[in-house]
Amino acid sequence: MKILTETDNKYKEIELHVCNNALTDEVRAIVGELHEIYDVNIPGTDNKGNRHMLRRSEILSAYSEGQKVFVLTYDGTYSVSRKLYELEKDLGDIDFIRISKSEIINIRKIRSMDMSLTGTIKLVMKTGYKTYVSRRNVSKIKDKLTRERSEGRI
Amino acid sequence: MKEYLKRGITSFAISSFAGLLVNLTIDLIANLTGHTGFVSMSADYIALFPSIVLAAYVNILLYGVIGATFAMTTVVYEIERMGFVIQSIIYFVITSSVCMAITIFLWQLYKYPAAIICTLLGFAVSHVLMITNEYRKLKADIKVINEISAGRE
Repeated sequence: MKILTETDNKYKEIELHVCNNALTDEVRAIVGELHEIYDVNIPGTDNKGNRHMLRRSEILSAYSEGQKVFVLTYDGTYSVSRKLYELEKDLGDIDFIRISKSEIINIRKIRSMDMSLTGTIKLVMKTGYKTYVSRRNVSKIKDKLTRERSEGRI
Repeated sequence: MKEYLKRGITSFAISSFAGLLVNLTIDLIANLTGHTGFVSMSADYIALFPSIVLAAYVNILLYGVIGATFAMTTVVYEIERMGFVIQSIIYFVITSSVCMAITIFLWQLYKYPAAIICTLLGFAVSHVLMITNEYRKLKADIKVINEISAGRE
């Protein structure tokens, strides 16, 4: 196994790439280990009251409903004890972006966006989860995705 | 809501001050060119008050009300589930109602129906242009987002 180090201005944070000709068990194990070590984990509680550590990379969305804040992952929805702005800071601004006053999403998980004739902007995530985007955030999402693409990050 | 109240108070102060400066400039220029008195206010409007000074005070406060209305009504744009075309229509209805009522009172426009229609039309056209431009810009942005998102699948 080769271990390479590359420095370039295009990287805004440390990135770990695991490269191989196939997705083998060894690759999965290495990626799993790296996630365990480096992922930002957010403690969340499911609807049965069980505590889980939620990996940053698995988070699709974080939203507030009334006084409560929820995190949506591939596995389900979890309530968290942080404020939305605290979560926004913890998740960082590389993959996450605020789409409205009450929601932050992972831009890597966007499937599509659509606008109705009356101007309602709907966003669909890769899991089929649908949500709404406020008008002023559309250009921010576009700019972020365009920047990420030009830097070869997506 | 607190933020919008703060925004409204700030806009009230700014609009009142701006209105005061505009009136002052008009009156200064008018007086330098041979006119006398408060040219910035219509004679019919001044006649509604016991003194010119009181009319001027009310005039400035009404400028402030217009500014505060424009600023505070932006709260409607925070309702994400409402389309921005609907938001803009609500914004137009509220702001134009307040703005037109004040303008009609200040300039005594009810005596000139054609002037009322022209002012309202100008206001409406500027809103339609604003909504159309914004709609097209959003459509273009969404197209780029969808292209990038589809390219990653």
